[in-house]
Amino acid sequence: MMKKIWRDKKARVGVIILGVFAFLALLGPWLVVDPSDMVATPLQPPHVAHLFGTTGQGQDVFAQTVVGTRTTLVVGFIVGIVVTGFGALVGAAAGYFGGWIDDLLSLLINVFLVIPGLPLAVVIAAYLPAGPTTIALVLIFTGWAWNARVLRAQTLALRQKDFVLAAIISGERHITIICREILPNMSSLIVSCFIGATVYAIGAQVGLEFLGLGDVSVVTWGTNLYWASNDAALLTGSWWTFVPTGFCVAMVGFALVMINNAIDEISNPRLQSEHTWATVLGRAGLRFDRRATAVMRSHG
Amino acid sequence: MSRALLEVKDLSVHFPVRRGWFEREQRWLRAVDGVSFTIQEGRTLGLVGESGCGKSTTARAIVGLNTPTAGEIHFAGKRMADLDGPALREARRGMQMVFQDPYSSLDPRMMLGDIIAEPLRAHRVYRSRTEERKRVAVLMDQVGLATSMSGRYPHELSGGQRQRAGIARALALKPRLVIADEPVSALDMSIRAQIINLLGELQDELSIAYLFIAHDLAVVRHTCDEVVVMYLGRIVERAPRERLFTAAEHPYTQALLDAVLPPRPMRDRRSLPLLGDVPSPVDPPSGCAFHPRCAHAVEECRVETPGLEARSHDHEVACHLTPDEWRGSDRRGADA
Repeated sequence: MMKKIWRDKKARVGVIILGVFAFLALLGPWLVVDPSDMVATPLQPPHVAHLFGTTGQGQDVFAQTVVGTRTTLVVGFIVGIVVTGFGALVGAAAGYFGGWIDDLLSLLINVFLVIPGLPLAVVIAAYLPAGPTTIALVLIFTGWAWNARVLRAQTLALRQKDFVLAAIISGERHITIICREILPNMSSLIVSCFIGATVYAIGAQVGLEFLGLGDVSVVTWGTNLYWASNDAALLTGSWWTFVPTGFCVAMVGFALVMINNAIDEISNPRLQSEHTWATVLGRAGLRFDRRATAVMRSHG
Repeated sequence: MSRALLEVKDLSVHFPVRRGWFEREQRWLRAVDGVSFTIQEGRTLGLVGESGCGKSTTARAIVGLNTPTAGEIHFAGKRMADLDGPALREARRGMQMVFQDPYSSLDPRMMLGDIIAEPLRAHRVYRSRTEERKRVAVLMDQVGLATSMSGRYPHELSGGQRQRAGIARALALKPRLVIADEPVSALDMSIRAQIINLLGELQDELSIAYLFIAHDLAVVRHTCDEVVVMYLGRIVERAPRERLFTAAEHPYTQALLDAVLPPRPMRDRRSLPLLGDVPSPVDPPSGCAFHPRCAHAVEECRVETPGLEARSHDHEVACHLTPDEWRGSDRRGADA
């Protein structure tokens, strides 16, 4: 799987970008100066000593950007994983079992869907003790329903497929059918849900912290922006205090979307063998026709 | 030799139709309405009718995918409604199904070997992977697939190969009854004969009983011992194969027989082809459901629903008229 992702150009770009950020998240804090220390004159533009300049408090912007990566990414990915896992569980159960189970779970999903997510997140975050854990919990609480809804719809479609009926007739247990037939057949949808949820989680987390709803003493990309705004970065024209962080958020999102595109192709065996065929035919100087199915001869 | 393996008694499957939020009256779609037949051990029963006549719903009710509204299903001497839990699972082992569309009946993410082994794993037939692999190889050999293909994905196979894989999966648990829901309708003409012959060979070899569903009498002719013709959820005629093909007594059966392409089209056409579509089973016609399309309908057909009556010991027909009365009297033709 990893090899296949690596072979795809778009995915490779995504993986490299994400790899750089993962490296920074892991080791960053040991590579740069303490981001909370006042190390130089405040609000200096980028120069050799401080690559990204300094903040209104005289802190190193480069160090803040690097150190902020860890908390931001960890919260983003944890929220993405939990939201997708919970959504897949609820959605697959609702779609597969139908009847009153579906009625009940759909009601729950719909209630959470009509609640406006971000405003509720703001309200809850304001009441709970500030910090990354709170932000993660709030985003999970308000974000799981969309994935559940999407995956339920896909489960409903798969439930009617003959191969699922065949599994039921052959005596397969419900749990096995969900895990072996339903979930693998929507793996690319699940991955794209996960990536969508992660991108959303990173954005929403940065947004909440920018509004001051996080713990402003923790260095994250969100609090970096909060402090930049607090120090009136726009008024003073000190663009270097917020552009690096904003750029990082955008790059992480870009990398995730690139990987998403590639996984769609990789997780579909048919698209994949078409790809192989196109390569083989291309080498022989032939044109690939999508309407034809490559078939293996069974005898001789 | 013959003992009833499957006995279907007055089976009805009705689906509620929701028309609108404020509609008081609950309407029902009578997909299957009082159908009875039996299949003997090792024999083949053909179930024939146009699309939407309830053939597939009958099959799905037998294997438990649809819940019968009324009626009973007895399999191997046991009443299915009496069983639940492990006993039901055990009973269902004996009946497996082959699906119409070989493209959607195999999980695209599973390799052929896993697909065929799935029923074995579901019932934990084998402890060791080696034994399981041996059994899968035997099954693949039985249906004419090279054992080397067990690592292939369904999209790498042709339609005929996939259908062979579907048959191998159905045979894995050594069933006594295989329900084949239009197993060749989605296949090319040349492949059809192969699959039909394969099913016949497997029957001789393993003495399986088949419920063979088809919309095409030509297919049934080569496979079945007995044929049941359905129209709009009811049986209109039941007869041994030879009798049905030589002396059909229901006008609908005759129309289906005439619809089979004759070898000499200009000389052999016997009656006008069927016109129109099957009426909606939500709102079936009064009297005999077939009367609006029947070339021989009389007043009685519009009013009274004919019951299934025995014309001889093994031939039942649901028609007010006898063949002597309706043959040669094409009232619709006379009007036109």
